[in-house]
Amino acid sequence: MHPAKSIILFTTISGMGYGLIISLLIFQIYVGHTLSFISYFLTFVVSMTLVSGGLLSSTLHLGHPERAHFALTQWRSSWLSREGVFAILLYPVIAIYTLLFYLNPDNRSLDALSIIIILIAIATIFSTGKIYSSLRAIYSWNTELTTFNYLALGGLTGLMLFQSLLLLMGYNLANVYYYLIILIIFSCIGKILYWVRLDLNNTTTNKSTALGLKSQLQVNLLESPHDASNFLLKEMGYKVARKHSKKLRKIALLFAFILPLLIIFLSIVLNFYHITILAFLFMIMGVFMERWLFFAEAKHSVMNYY
Amino acid sequence: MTSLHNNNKIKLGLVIDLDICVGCHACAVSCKEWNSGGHSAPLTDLNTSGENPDGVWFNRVHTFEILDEESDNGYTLNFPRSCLHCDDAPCVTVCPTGASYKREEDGIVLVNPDACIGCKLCSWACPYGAREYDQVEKVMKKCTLCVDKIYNSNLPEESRVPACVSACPTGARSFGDLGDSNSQVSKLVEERKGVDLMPEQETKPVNKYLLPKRRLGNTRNAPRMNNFNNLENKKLNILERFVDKILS
Repeated sequence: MHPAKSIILFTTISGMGYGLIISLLIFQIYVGHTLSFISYFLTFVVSMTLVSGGLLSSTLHLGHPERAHFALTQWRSSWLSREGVFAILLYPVIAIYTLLFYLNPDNRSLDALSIIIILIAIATIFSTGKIYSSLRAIYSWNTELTTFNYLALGGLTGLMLFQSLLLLMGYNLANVYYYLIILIIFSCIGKILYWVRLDLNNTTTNKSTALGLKSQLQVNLLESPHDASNFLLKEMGYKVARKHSKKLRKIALLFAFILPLLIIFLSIVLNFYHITILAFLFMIMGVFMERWLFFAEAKHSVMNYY
Repeated sequence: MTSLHNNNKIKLGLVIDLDICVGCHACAVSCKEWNSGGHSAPLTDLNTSGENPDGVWFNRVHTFEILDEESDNGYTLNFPRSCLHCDDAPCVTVCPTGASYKREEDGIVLVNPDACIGCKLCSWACPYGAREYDQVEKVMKKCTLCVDKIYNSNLPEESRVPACVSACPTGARSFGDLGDSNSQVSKLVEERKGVDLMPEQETKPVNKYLLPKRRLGNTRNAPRMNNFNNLENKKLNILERFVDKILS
């Protein structure tokens, strides 16, 4: 599949934004509103900027962005529509939360509202993952590992960013590092399993079933229907990454998980936590590469005809 | 509404006989001509006289060579590929706007160009590559089964079939109601054991394909069947062997 920059940017940036909201609100519930309103508000602004930036970026790849509101109508059947509905729903709820938190920072009954916001944020990332995992025509995505990866990487990058912001705002909480380490390990395992499944290539669709042939015969394209390229080949026929995918996967794993993990260990050992900001930067690069590979490695069943 | 109702009684569709298709592309060209002025018009073309022409087509004719290594049979297969108007159309259910829909009255899958936002997700969801994006109109386009021709009472009755069916010089394409087991097309499918494309994708295509009958006579490799890619099949001279050895 063609890795469109707008979708790569949208899925990584907004995933991180939702992860940041989830981290922030879990922190609020857990530690009991120890953040000053200013610190809360700064984190809130960063997360909303990421989420909104991602949403805007996703509308960039639409042919008719001016009709984007139509996309909220088909939530009964379409995961893309559900994603849009959840994404929009988050804004008023978190605005109310922020206002109430501002009016009374000690109001613990706000925790109920936090849980609702956390659930909406999770539902949004879940829907993003489901858009891809529900496509049977693309074997590499058609697995719940895809949804898991979206959730795990959204949560991980969000928490990593939250940790960096806390440091910059002068907070330091050792507990966060343990959650980070656990999330890195889980995300890494999820991604490796995704690639193992992809390499097994256990799909029943092949050139023979594409033609309705009963047994698996050797099928070669003798004459293409068109000499030049077309929409299908440009959109679904992306092949560049597959040649180097093994190397790129290692680089993605190194940047997204291994280097951040080492840096976090090092920061604990050295008791010098500010270097974890470096871990965040590495992780972002790694996740961008992971997302690029997610698209570039995916093979669409229509390619059986070419 | 992009939910599927799954209760169409009438299922209009095509039956394509791969045994007699000669791969002349008349169906594809005729389709392009009719639909350039039809329901989903225009079918935009870009750079038509340049190096890399591009454009929207609803029908694409591929030609394959099929080799059955077990029986050592080879043959050429001409294969027109277009929308199958699936009963369980994944392109319809993924649509976030309701632009993509399957008609309740006859099962035709269509796109409402006024509601399409051009997100292209339907083209990803279709396993067959039946949908093509119009880069100029910025909406998705697809086979309409010539909905504006088959019901057109201004045309003589025998012309009320999709353009591809009218154009086929060998009669390889038949049009009718595949939901009615007594229709001519249904009988044809039953007689010839018509097949679904990619049945494992569980899209339940309405269109059926009829596979080539068993060949009679000398069925050994069709003319193009020699494998020229494999150097070992060819007798190499000393120089060629030397070059081959250095290079490989």
